[in-house]
Amino acid sequence: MRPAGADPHPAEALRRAEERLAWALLALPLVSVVGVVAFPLVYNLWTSLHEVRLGTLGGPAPFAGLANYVRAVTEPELWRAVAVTVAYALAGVALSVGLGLAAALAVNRPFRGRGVFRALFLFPYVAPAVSVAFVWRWLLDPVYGAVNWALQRAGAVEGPVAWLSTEPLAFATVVAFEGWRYFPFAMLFVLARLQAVPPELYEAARVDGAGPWQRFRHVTWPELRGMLALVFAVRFLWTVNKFDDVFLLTGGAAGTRIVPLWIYDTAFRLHDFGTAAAGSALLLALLLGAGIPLCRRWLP
Amino acid sequence: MAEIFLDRVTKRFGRVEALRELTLRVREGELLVLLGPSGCGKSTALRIVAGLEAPTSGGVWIGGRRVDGVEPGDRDLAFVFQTYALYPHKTVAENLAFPLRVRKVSREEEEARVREVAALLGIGELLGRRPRELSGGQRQRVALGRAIVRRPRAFLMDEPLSNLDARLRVEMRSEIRRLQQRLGTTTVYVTHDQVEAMTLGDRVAVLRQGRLQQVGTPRQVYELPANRFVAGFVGSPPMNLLRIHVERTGDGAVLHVGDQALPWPAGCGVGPPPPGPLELGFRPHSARLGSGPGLGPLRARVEEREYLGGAVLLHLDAGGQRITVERPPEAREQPGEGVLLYLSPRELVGFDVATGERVWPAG
Repeated sequence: MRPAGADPHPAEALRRAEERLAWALLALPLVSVVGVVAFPLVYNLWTSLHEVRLGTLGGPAPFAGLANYVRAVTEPELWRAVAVTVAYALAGVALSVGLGLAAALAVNRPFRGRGVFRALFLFPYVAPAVSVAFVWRWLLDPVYGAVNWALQRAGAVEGPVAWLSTEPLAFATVVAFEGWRYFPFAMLFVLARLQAVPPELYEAARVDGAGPWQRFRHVTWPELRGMLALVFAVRFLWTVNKFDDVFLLTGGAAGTRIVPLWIYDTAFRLHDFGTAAAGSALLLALLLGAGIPLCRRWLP
Repeated sequence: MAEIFLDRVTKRFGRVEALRELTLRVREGELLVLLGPSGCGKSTALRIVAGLEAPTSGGVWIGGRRVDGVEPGDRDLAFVFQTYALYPHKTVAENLAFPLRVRKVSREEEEARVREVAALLGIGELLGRRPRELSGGQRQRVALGRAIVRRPRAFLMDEPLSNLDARLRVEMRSEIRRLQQRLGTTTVYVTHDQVEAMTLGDRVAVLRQGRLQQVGTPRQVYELPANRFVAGFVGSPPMNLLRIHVERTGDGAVLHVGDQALPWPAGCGVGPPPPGPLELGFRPHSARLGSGPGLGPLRARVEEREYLGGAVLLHLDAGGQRITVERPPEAREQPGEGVLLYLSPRELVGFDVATGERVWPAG
């Protein structure tokens, strides 16, 4: 036996080594969180309280108090954008979750070529936003677009339709895009949940005399309800924050200006960084207000 | 209540043959146990009766009507699953009522029947709970209740007690037996547990590798196993098997076990086994030690002694062959000691050495 006090106890040495390892593993995420989340957040809050214009960008700017916030909330365009955002998020997410549910049910049971379908269904979600948005723009183009060509050929429309630049068509189109692009996300979650439903439940229901619809209503639906609500909540929060899809499709024209686009326009077209930052802070507050209760509800 | 008849049912899953030409008649009102090791096809047979699987060939009749191609829900059977398969989001009352609601039974009758079944099974206080708030035994009762409530023509039970602990299993076993006798409903019960099969079954059908080995009362299966497999599978510890050679001598016979020659006891009321090589089977409790009457003495040496509380098992070496005998707990034989065995001629069976089929006694 070693004399007491000569060396740290082996268990103590092990604990210290573990601690060093923990810090080493935490270092990278910590740096990225501080750099990508914390710093922009603080900088945004600072900007929202100062008179930041093109001339004062990056340097000292006069303190503005809550003037930027007052300007933002008294701006009717912002409120219109909030209404568009909520409508866009609700409709788009409902569509994507509905399509995702249908797709998951379709590929849940084994059939020939199921793997191919599953892979194809993932495409909209994994393809880069810029490419799929431009493909949609090209397809829907009033002059060169395949959709207008086909509709005219079929006699469904008289002349070309400006899908992305007339109200309320543009809004409907961005909602359809959202539904199409994000249904694979809902599909993946619903599919995972479906695969976890014990097959005996379906067998018991069959023996009990339940038909396909009753099996869906009494077995599948109750098992999926929680997952669907979770997917809906998460997608809603993300969609409210979403910038690129609508920006690439319409740029916010024809009644599709959502809050992130209003912020973008205020900052980079009007160069009123302070008011844009105030709008961002308000959006963040709104999302936290909605998000924290949702997360409390669904995350363990 | 109805008779169930399987006619030469074969089931293949890809290249695996789960059932081969299974022909089996479940009599009206009886409890028939399908017994066999895991993978023997017993669950497949039950699922084919339920309509959850379709046979590759052969047919199933329920109550005299061919049901192949009939949906499970239209066969008027109830199935009890090993995992209970209760609807997790429904209360006990809703679980019990579900088969009735699907069948559009009136609300008054539904309520009356749910109450009746709940009283029968003693789960009246649990009606408002959900399955996850129930113990294993309570879930099992609800699963039974959901089967009973419909008053089906037959119960199909797939290892319904395997998920329960040993004590509860014994309790539920006798409860299932009582219920079945009281209701008189034809029941097919699948298990790998031979004790369950013996205690529950009016008759037992033993399956192995998709083939039916024997059907009979528990006593027939225990005392006159159809082959070496049944002899080893039914009963614990299993039946002893001794390689012997039978030689006819005038009006009697001599049984050669290794270098020992045992004369067939004259006047024992049972004729000797047929001449030639034979595998002689006897139950561990049917051997006497020390003195006759019976077939003996067979010299053996105690190799191991196992104390079971109510009995002692002696593992013996009889001329190079291992056998086991059961002794009362006060038995004194110790490892290393030599003993003399006497076997009761009435409790012997003989199997063909090559095929393993029982050749003696006939019938």
